[in-house]
Amino acid sequence: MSVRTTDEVLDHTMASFPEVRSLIDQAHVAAWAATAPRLLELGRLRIAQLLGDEWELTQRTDGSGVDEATIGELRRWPTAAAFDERDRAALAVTEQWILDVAAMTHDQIRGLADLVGEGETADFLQALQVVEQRQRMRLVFDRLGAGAAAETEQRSPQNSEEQR
Amino acid sequence: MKREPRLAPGAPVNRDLRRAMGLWQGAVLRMPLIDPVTTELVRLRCADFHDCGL
Repeated sequence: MSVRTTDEVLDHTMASFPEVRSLIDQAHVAAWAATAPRLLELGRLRIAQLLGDEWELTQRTDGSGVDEATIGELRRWPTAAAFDERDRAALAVTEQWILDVAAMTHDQIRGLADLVGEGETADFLQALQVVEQRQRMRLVFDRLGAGAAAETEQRSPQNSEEQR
Repeated sequence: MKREPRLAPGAPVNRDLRRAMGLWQGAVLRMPLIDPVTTELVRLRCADFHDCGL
């Protein structure tokens, strides 16, 4: 079975809702334009690791400044030398966002805001939401689509004949 | 329970991103797949969980 890209999954699932599909793309473009690409790329890849989004993990964002050696150390970001203070603050917020956003602490937010600024932190959180939502939609819709395809296959006239 | 803001109100934010997010979320709420009452209940539950004042 071929792996569908995030855009392919969204295109297929939202074919009947072109306005929403287009607005997702607009938000995605705005997210990358509003945020330090390195921090958002680290966040995107860490989200992919935590959610198990294998396709997103294979993707790279041009110009982000995140090299393969850094990606190889991403699971060890709290201690690995490849990450600086800003990276760690952004990744701490990213993990908390995914695992339990309601338990985000003052220190986690201030840890990032004191390094990159208040507005930049607010923009990073909004951008993180965009890349997170795209991945969650990809994972859910792709599995729903695969399940529906399998169900259709099982109900096909040819299979009904074979089962008799 | 409302938490104290972690970021100063009025901090400069990217308007294009805010606008894009608002348009996306507004369009989702207008989708006809789920009845309006269920949509609003889910929206309010999410807002409560995220401590979102909107």
